[in-house]
Amino acid sequence: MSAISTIFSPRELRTLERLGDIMLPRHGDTPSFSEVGCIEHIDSIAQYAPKDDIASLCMLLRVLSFAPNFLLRALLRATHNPAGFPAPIETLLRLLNFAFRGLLCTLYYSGKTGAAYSGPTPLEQIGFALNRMPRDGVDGSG
Amino acid sequence: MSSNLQYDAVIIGSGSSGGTAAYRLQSAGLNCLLLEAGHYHTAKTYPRPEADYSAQLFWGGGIEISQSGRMGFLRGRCVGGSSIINQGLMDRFDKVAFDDWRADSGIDFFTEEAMAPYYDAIESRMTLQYIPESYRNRNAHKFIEGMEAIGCKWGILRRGQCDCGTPEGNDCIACLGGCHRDSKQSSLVVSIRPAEELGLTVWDHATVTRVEHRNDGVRIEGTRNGEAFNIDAPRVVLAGGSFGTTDILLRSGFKDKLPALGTRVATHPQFMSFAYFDEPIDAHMGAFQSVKSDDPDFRQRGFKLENVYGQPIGLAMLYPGFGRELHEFMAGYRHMACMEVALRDEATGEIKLDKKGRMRVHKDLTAQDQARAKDGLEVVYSIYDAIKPKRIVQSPLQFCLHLMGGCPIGMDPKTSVVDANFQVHGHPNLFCADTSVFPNAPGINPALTTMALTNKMVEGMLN
Repeated sequence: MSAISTIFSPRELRTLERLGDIMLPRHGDTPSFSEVGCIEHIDSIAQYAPKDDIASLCMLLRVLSFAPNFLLRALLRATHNPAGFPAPIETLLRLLNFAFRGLLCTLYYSGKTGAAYSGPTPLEQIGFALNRMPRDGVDGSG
Repeated sequence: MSSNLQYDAVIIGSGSSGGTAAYRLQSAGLNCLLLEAGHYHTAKTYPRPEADYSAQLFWGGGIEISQSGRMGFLRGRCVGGSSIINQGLMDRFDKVAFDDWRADSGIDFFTEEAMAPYYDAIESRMTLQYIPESYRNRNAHKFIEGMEAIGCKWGILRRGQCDCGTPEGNDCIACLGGCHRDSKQSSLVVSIRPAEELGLTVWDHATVTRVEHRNDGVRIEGTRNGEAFNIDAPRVVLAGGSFGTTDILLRSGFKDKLPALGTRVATHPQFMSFAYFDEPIDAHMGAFQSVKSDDPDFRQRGFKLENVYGQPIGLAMLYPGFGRELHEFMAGYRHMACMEVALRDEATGEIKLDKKGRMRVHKDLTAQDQARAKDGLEVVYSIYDAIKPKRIVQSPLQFCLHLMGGCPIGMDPKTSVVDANFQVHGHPNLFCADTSVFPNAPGINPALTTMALTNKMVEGMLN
């Protein structure tokens, strides 16, 4: 784990990376979440989230750190199909879906990679690029 | 920190309403202070990657979630508010919307004719354009092809923009994270900067925690960059939008006096559908959103269709799956057409504070909302059937950008929060004309009407 975070502990980051590799595994030429190394940039995203939410997420990741991968996969599957669970659990699963998906997909498709990664970014792999053309007198195209 | 600064008016919130109020009041010679919780960005400093602008320009670090976890809310947290991160669609309300507002509020000036001068006033200060046919991207062409195939009427969107650079190859979807060309007619461009030239003071990173109404004015308590402040002003305009303004009044203890506070929340929930084609569509390129459904039948049925798309993180959030499936969906990013159903929902949501004093939004679809969503999605599927994509993906998530209600306007303090003069009932120094006063969902983009309402409010304040 080469990521450096002042918000998440190494144990929490490892759990998040395991979840990331289940949500975004290697697929053909497409790199996995952990291969891209985007988790190194987690603080640049998480620092803007509500502190209460991050604290709850950290606690959950510490608990999940003891879970084997098949349980993490089952949890992700449940967050995507929460209907049928008792109402409070269904709500919790929906919130977890936003939290996991939000953090993991944001990092993966951020265009940011780890120091050790040299391949194409996931954005490049899907062919995403934007033209920001400058306007005379407004130099905001950077 | 107690402020000895003397302001004639303080405006809390810098979106469509706050900016308009600041400009109008400052233009009238009042010395005003504008407070905004987010950062003051310029065309040069808007965060560029989607990941960064989502985290930095939106409340909740990207998104806020309803109490049930079914809806995601997007609202801007920066100088200019949600006008920085929306698409600048500027439509007046129609007879249907105003008739329903009049019925729910008992206020007689909610007519197209009575509101026309206030619309005129704001429209005269911004550039409004229709995107010409030659600029439409392939997503728009697919939308038009499908609408015409099923015999439904479509129209051209009127947008607040002045020079989007489409002929030069600019991709307008980038402006969802702030317009780097200052083309989008945001509150910042249209109102705040001109007001600053007239002497308006803007405090960014200023979070208001409480307002207290007094006989001679209003005390505002808050923090700026971590330091507490108090400001006394003879009049205060609440312009934090549906969630922001309601949150402040709830924290300030107004619920005891005004039981309707926090009620009648509507959000125009949106359901996005993607259609995959063999050929590239490149829905993210060029003029991003140029056409709309304009079928009177849809209006009656309580929905409209929008021709939209998202950047990659937004799309990944919307896909109902993970692993290999998610990768395969995202691999088709350049090949997807997209449209969404936007509901005219029932205003049954509620904003409350939890035991820790945090705002919670209780908002779920009613049976009528669900029926309207189903109806709208069936139209989408019939459109896609007509243009024959390889496959269709329906997102299960409901996203909401039009946040309305919480401080509904009306005549009776038992059932409303703001009166016909846009004063909080029983609190004559406290004004509000932002989206929180909406008595129900209009089913039309709210930005232009919010500015028109604010024009009317300021007219009353100055008289």
